[in-house]
This record gives sequence, C-alpha cells and structure tokens, in this order.
Amino acid sequence: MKALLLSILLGSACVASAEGPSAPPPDAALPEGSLYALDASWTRQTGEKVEWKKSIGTARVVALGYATCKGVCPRIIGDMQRIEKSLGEGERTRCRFTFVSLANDKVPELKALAERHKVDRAYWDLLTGNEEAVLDLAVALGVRYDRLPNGIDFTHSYLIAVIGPDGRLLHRWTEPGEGPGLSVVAVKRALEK
Amino acid sequence: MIHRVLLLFGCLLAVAPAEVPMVRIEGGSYARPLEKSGQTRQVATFSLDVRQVTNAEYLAFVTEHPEWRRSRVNRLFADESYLRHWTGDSELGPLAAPEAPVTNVSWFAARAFLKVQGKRLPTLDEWEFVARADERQIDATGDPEFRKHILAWYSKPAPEVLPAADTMPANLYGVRGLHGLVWEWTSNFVASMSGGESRSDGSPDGPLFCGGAATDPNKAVEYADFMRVALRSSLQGTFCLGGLGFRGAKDAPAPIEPKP
Repeated sequence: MKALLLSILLGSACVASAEGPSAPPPDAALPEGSLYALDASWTRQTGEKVEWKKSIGTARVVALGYATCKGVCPRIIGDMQRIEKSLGEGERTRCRFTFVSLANDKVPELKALAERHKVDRAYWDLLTGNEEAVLDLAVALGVRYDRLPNGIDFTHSYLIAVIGPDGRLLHRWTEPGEGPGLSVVAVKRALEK
Repeated sequence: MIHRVLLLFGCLLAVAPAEVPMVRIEGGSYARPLEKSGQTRQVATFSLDVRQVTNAEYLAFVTEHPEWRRSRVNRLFADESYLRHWTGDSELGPLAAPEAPVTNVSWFAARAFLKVQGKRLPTLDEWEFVARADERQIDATGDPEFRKHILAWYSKPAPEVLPAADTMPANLYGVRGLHGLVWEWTSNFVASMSGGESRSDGSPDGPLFCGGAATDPNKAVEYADFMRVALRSSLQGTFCLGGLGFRGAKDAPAPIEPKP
C-alpha cells in the first residue's frame, strides 16, 4: 500500500540512471550504513557522558520513549528486560540495553525511571540528549513520534531495535505480539562473530 | 575581447550561488490536517525560504562537502536513488536544470545542506501553516478554488525536467511553489502517522501508539490533506524521490527590545 502510494505520488518524476562506482565509506572502521556513524553525545541516568560513536564493539538493544509515559513505554522497557533475561551472562556484558528519551528528560527523571523498572545499571543506559540527536536516531531507526499539543506527552510508535557491534541494524521489533524471540536470536548471532 | 569574456566567466565561476532569500512568517495557531477537530497547534514566528533549494545550489554544496557526493554518500543517510537524475557526481546533465528544485535528496542530506547555511528544515506545522495561504488570504483552505488548484497538481504527472523554482507563483507571504512543483521535506515528518495498519489509541494489545493524536475518523477527510499525511507517513529518512525536494527555515531572531 505504502509503496504503491509513493509510486503514484512521486514515481513519475523518477528517471533511471547507472549507478556510479561505489567508494569506501568515509570511516573505514564502520561498515556502510552503521548507526554508530551518527554524531551524538548523550547523558546517562548516572550523569556520565556517553559518546554514541564509541559504541563500536558493543551490541545495543535500543528503544525511544520518555520517562513519564504511561502508555507503551513501560511495556517497551518490560519487553527489553525479557530480551535481557534470555541472554547468557557472557552475552549480557557485551550488550547495552539502551532507552533514549524523546522528551529531553533530565538525569533525575531517568534515574527515577531506572528505579521504577529495577533495571540493572550494569547493563542499562537510559539516555537523554539534544533534540537534533534524538531526531536523527529516531529517523534512522524508523521511529515515528510527535509531541502532543499539551506540550507534555508524546505519541510514538513501538520499536525495539537490535544493533550489532558494528552498528548495523539487525532487527526491528515493531509489533508487541511478536515477542522477544527474534530479537534474542539477533543479539546472540551478532555476538557469536 | 576573448580575455574579457574569460575574465567574466572566471568571475561567474568564483561566485558561489547566493543563499535562498527568506521572508518572515508571523506565527499563529492552526488546525493540523486530519487532527482531531478543535485541537490546534501553535506556530511561532519564523523565517522561510521563498523557494526550494535548486540543483545548482546543491551542486555547490556537494563540491564543498565531498562526503555528500553521489558516489560517496553513506547509505545510512541516503538510499541508492540519491541524486539519480544527475549525470554524475558533479555534473547536472539534461534532466537536472540548474534553477530547478533539487530532488532525489534524503532528509539527512537536506538537513546537512541547510546546517551549513545556518538554516534548518521547516517543521511540519510551519510548512502546513504557510501552505494554507493563497495570494490573498492567510488561510485559504475553506476556498474550493484553492483546494481544486492543489488537487489538480496532485493528479498531474510530474514533468521529466522540472521548471525553475523561482517561476512559481508566490502566495501572500511571497513564498513560491509550496503547491504545484515538488513535495517538500519537513524536519519532523515522522510526526505523521496515518493509516490503519499501526494505530490504536493506547489499547494494551495490538500495535501501539501512546497518546491521543489519532486521526478523527468522524471528521470529513480532505483529500489534499490526506495525500500529504499519507506521503509523509510513508517516508523514511533515507528515501530519495524524484518529486521530493526541500527549502530552508530559521527561527525568528529574538526581539531586540522585549515588550514590557
């Protein structure tokens, strides 16, 4: 349906052209399309700084939401914990469970959120950053969100993404009913290599 | 004589294309297309480019910033269709008129271009707010002629080679070509979430969206509004499409003398 719409709306102006020669990506350490090429620095629930580009070598299970969300966010965090529980100890230490605030939450709010959900601080990054960085990440992951006219709440889609140690997007859990199975497999496979 | 021509030519080459002129848009409140009736959105005063960014301007950008050339762009930021209507990395060719709006550019690419100029993409609300105006009224959406005019464009196939961006008629603000030439990126296009496949009002099961910005199914859907919402909700940030371009915006400068 979406593809059809797009081709109707825009297809007529498209023209065919030969692909140019492909050049290596600017940062040779990262594979083409690596999400770790995004330029972002975050603040963690502990107040520490987290440079996104330094995630290389670490898998991440990532979701976006906000601290005061009473809708889908508690469920998203719960579902991330289901993934966490299915991993072995050796896997867990090479994987960060990452919840990024859409709402410019401050450190105390993130800390309260961490306590409310009893997340293991050894493995969890609850992050907040500037609006631009959040938008870049959301768009790169395909999260839809909008601040509601009340200025406090957001409408946002359900998404739990698995990112491999090289920053490649490996799996997107978008339908809550899917369950954690495919995400767990994606993390385990990524860490096997 | 030849010297003089060469000199003139050299000067032309040396002069980078000027930035797109901007106009000031007085803010206000408006009802976002397809949102629940009675709900309004605030738009602060801002500045908007009077026309879209052109192929020539975008070429100057990729010349300065080679990481955005067609052959080098990171697939994280643009898909395989990026600048596909150009002949080469730094050659426009017959399908990309220099003064025509640049298309086949991703959201990431548009943002990178504008950042260099100290500009940004307009927000969805800013764009929609200005796009309601015709040449006489701030809000012409109640005017059947205005709607007919927009729909006539939507149903017309795009020409193979787009005309110059500054040849489009201007609305009351002096902004050209919001309707009738190409579709345009907005900074938060991800705020568009239409379609039944992934929406509910926060019920605990099934596909979930928090909050209550759902489309009001009881409100008569305006077709032109629906088309824009449908397009935006189909887009991903890496998409490069033949009929999709962009223009810049800027926050209004803070008032020098705040009113008491």
